[in-house]
Amino acid sequence: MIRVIVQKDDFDVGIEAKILSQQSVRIGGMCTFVGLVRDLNEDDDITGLYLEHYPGMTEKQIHEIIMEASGRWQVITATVIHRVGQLTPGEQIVYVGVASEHRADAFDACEYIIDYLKTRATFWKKETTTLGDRWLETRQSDIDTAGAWVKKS
Amino acid sequence: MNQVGYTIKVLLFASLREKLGESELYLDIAEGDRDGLRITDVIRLLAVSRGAVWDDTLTNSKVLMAINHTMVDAQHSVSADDELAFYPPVTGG
Repeated sequence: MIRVIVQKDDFDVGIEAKILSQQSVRIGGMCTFVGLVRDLNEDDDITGLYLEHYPGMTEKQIHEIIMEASGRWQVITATVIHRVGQLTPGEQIVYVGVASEHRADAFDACEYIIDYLKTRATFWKKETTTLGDRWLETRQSDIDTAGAWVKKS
Repeated sequence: MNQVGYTIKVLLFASLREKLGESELYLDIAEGDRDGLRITDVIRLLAVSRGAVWDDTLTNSKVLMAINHTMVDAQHSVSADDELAFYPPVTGG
């Protein structure tokens, strides 16, 4: 069962990994990625991060990204949790968990999902810094990283 | 209200929402504007009713748009009851 959750609350990596692992006895390996709020970005002190999303569309896009990954690699199931609202440095912001029969598929699918989530899913980050608030710009390096998957196939 | 309504829902996100001061609005489309309505026309109508800043902001080449949760371009057609969203480049993950 693919799970896509956008929520304000924090998540427990251990619980999520356990839920993922119990979905099928065919699972031979799981890869999970956890993203955290950093406090260093372009040299300003970040005091917080506000995340906004487009309810309905965001979840649909994440489902699509997981289905694309499932078409490229052998994926038994996957979970994506993305937090929204006000966050502070050090907090967990995103969880991607992929379960496969073999590790190589889990690693690649997990990386693919987070790469595309960053460049395609409708989330927007606003940083609160000591110099004031500002909406973040899309990083070219993120676009390049996701784009590289097109060439890799 | 028109007897036969023709309304589209417009959503704005992140920096666009802050700049234009609205997050969600319903735009009634007059009968003469309905035929062949495209997103570019909706932007023009928004500018007429709300000010030129709407046109200046939403025609920026970086602005992305979606109709009923699917990304489209500004030439895409718009129908009654569609949900049209404008948003800046995404920065999640």
